[in-house]
Amino acid sequence: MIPVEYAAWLCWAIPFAGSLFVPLVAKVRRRSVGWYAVAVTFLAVACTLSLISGMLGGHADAHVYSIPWMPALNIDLSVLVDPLSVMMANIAACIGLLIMIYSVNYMKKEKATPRFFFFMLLFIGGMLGLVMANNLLQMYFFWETVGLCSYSLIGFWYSRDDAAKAGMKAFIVTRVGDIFLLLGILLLYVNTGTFNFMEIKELIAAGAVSVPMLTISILMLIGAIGKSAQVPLHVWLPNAMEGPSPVSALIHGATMVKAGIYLVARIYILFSIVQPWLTTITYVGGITAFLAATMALTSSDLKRVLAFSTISQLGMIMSALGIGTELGWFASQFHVISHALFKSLLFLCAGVIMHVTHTLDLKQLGGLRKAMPITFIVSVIGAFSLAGIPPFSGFWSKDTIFEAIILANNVPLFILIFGTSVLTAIYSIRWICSVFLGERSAFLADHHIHDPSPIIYVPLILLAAASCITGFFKTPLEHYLGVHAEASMSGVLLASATSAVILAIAVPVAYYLYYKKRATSLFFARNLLNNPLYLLISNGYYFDAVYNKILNGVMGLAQFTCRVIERSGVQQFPYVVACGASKLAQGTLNYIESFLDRFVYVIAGGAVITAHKTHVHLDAFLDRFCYILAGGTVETARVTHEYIDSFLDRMVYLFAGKTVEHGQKIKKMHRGPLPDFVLAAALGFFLIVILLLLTALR
Amino acid sequence: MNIIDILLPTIVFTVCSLLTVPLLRLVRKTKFNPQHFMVAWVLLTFSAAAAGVFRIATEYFGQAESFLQISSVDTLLESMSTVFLVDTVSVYMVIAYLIVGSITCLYGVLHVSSQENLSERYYALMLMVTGTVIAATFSGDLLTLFIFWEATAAGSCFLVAYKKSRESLESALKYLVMVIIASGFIIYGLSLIFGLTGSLNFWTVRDVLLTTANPELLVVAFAFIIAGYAIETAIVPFHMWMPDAYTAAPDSASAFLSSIVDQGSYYVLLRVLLFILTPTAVVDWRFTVAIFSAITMTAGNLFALAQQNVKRMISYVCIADIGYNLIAITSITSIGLMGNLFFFFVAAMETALAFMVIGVFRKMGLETLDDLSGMGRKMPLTSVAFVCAALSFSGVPLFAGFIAKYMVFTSVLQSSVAWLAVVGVLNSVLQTSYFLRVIHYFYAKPAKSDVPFKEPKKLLVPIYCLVVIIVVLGLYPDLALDLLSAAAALLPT
Repeated sequence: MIPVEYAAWLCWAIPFAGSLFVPLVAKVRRRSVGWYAVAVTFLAVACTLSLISGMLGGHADAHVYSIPWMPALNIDLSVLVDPLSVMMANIAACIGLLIMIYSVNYMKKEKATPRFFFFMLLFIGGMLGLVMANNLLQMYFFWETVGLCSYSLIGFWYSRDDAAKAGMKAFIVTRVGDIFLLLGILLLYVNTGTFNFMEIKELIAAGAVSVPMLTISILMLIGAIGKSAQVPLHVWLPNAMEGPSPVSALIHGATMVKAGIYLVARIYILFSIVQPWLTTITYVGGITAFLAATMALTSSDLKRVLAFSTISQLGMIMSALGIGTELGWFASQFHVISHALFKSLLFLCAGVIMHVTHTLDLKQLGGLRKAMPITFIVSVIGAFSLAGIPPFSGFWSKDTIFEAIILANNVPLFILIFGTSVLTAIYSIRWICSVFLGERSAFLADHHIHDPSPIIYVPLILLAAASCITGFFKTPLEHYLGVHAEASMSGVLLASATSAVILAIAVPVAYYLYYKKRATSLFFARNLLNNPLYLLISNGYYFDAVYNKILNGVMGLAQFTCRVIERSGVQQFPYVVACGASKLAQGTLNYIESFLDRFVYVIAGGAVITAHKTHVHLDAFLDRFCYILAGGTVETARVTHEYIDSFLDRMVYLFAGKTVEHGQKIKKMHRGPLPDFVLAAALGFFLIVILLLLTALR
Repeated sequence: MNIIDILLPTIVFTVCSLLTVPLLRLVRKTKFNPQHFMVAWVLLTFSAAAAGVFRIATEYFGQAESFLQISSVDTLLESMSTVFLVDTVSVYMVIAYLIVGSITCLYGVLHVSSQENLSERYYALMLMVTGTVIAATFSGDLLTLFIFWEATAAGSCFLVAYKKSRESLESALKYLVMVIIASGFIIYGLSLIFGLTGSLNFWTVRDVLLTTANPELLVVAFAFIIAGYAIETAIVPFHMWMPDAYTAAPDSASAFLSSIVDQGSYYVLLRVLLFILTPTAVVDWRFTVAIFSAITMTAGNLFALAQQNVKRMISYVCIADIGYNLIAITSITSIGLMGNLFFFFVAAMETALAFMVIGVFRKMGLETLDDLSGMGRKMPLTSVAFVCAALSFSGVPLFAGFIAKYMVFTSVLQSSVAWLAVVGVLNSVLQTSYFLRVIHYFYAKPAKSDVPFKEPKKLLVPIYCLVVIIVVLGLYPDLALDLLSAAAALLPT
């Protein structure tokens, strides 16, 4: 047992430090890299587990341990040990450990295992650091670390174009959210002078914040929306399936997407007074839950169904957070735990299935029940938990969410979540049916299908077992998180009734549609597939298309402005201005082409006219200037040179010759003509003067 | 402390630079390896100058006043004489120049082969320019500042023209013409200031301006001076010489110029705006500068996005950086000043690092994004260094760029032009996207040919020095911020 004050630091420092040694271990003994990573994660788990004991001792208030980091800015490096952070840390570390064990075998045929385990360790370390952080800046550090790791892990098979693009998409989309989060954090800092959660809470209570709280809270919420893949920033998550399955399991089950939820749950204590904020969370979550559930129903990709389901479940969690009651907050955290368990389980199962069948297309799969009994059983447990079928953990947590919604009397949200739950049950049964039940498809006929090796299925069984029993720990968890929700009999009963109705609707529908396959051939093929609604859903409500349009627009704008301003714009401008004037001067100045020339011409007067006569073929001011200068100098130099053969003269001659030579070179090769530069600078100067005149003097 | 003490670093650089040409020619005639000699010579010069700076710093920190003023003439004519100034800001900047300058000069020595004809002039110019930048930073009146700054610009011009190709000569000429126009603007503005105040001494000017009866005339003077320095710092739309010059200059010269001369020019702008012409109660220039900041950031990033030539892209990033710097200058807060100074240092290292890595690639004839496809696997170490620079540019935590951007954005949120923060933040997203595009080319695209490339071990040494400093400062920014918190107190109110 490690003392709490060390464990809180070590739990994230160990994976971080451990990841640095991965290349070294790989040099010494390449095959051991996986087990090394498992050992490091195990140490982290030992730390997080020993944090729990401190929380159970009855005094569940927060402990803060800090060391100075940037004294100049009054920022400390500190960790916060409270029930919420310890809970999230344990989810991340424990599930991370199981996924690591699974990966040792799963990834053994890959070439780049050191890179994989390096980023996995960093990923877990980043997530642990994020949940343990006591101030927003430190949290943001780890927040970005997690984002970077996800980028490299999703793009792990970077030689595949799709994977590389998916990694970039995940990074950029979440970064859009991150930037807003940073803006929110900075606004808080500017107003309160601290990043510390507890201090900010006190200052807010004291009314020290002058900027509207709504602005700050919404900005920070956008960060969470990006990370937790809520509408409209959900588009990265389905593509994130391009990564290896353990990565998907880690992203969906334990780390990345939970970070957004954690952020909202954490800043909940700061902003729970802001009613519009809560309403926004509720509806962002509710709408996300419903939209993603419909997308999961129409997707025909083994892993994408699960990805859409993650978005949908996270939406439910978000909406529960937004209810604003203590029970709603608790329900969301409860569902975080059960979702972490069943979703990582399902992804690991999907990884196994993909490993033996080499396909992700649900239409090509089917009838794997007999060949893979263990995988079948654990998948069914996972899917039933997802569908909310008792006694698995998903049922209990979903039930709690319904209880919270019913007690809050929020009818629109109830309808959204009710619809989501029906769809969830249908698509989870569909998933099971199309992978395991029915006849083996022709595609799989020549595959040798078998259950995986024990190293792989032991984590699966552990996760399945946890999914079975976690639901019964509702009361201890309530006690642990320090939530004192009023037990309301009517709420519990109504919630149970709702769950029963959901199952009563969903199970028969799913049974007929997917198990009996009554409707598929007739109904779907003819009507649904060409239905505009179906098209809308299967194209993901056209979010991607719109974003692509915007991106292309920005790119086009960049190229356009670059072309216009950099090359032609400044050149064109003088023509427009000079157009009228040039008509007047045409008789004498018809060979002069640029504004600057004419300017010089007016000033230089007669002297220039003679110069023009000799240099009619030259059309740019600069060249002519060089010629006049050089020609004159050469002439003098030559004459002088004949008489006085001195060193200095030769220098002048050399210089003059060179000038002519380079003048000719320059004439041949123009990038952006110099007069344009001067003109742009002149325009800038006028802009300065105008702005100053308008604003500077009071 | 007398005037010799303060000029000592500059004198060291100048003398060493003059000695470089004959010494290197001598060494070439012996069996001694000229490259080894030059490495030793650069290190010797920089450590001698560092010793001089160290002496100034100890003397300055040993005394109670917040700045030291050293003039060449006593009492009577003090307001007319050449004055030098030592305060935390200038000491910090000079330390930054020495660190980044020594690394980029070493890179220059390793990159431009010493066997190459005329290379000794190139090295001499680098040392000379470092010396003049340091003198400009220490100067305490507007005329001294102007003179040393023009010397710097002249030296930079020759660095750009070193290759004597068409492009480099053309862009050097453009640079020269722009610099001359800029000095015209500045001199005219200075003459107006002198007319208004009767002095060019920083403190006298400031004190007189605070109570000036002629704010209209001051506006005119201000406009001219700012336009002049805007050309030298390449604020959009005064920027057009810069991409040409940096693209055409030798690769090591781009790294050197972007890290030393560019940062020096920001410093000059900061000094002039914040410390000398600052009385915002008299002339409120904040909105004007804010507009230019927004234009500069946006244009720099948009143009960078549109580039195919990586070196040109990095030059546009330099321009975008100026926009970020202007954000912090606009805010006139202590955190903004700290952020600015930290940003100078970090941006110097980032751009130097990026140019140095690009220099390695260009030595092999790889110039455009397409050429760089698949380089991540062929030259892993070099590419990783570029990735570090890119992440730091985009403001990803763990790298120093994040801390710098964080301070800059915080400062502007505290000020009256908070909308600039939004523009800046959106620009950050834009910046991330085009840097990711480069990384995408590095790692995701298949390589164009199967020719194996060898990583240049020697060139990687200075490159990785910078990577280490960027990461260390990103994790523990207090190393620099500690020095800066004193600077924040200097800000005139």
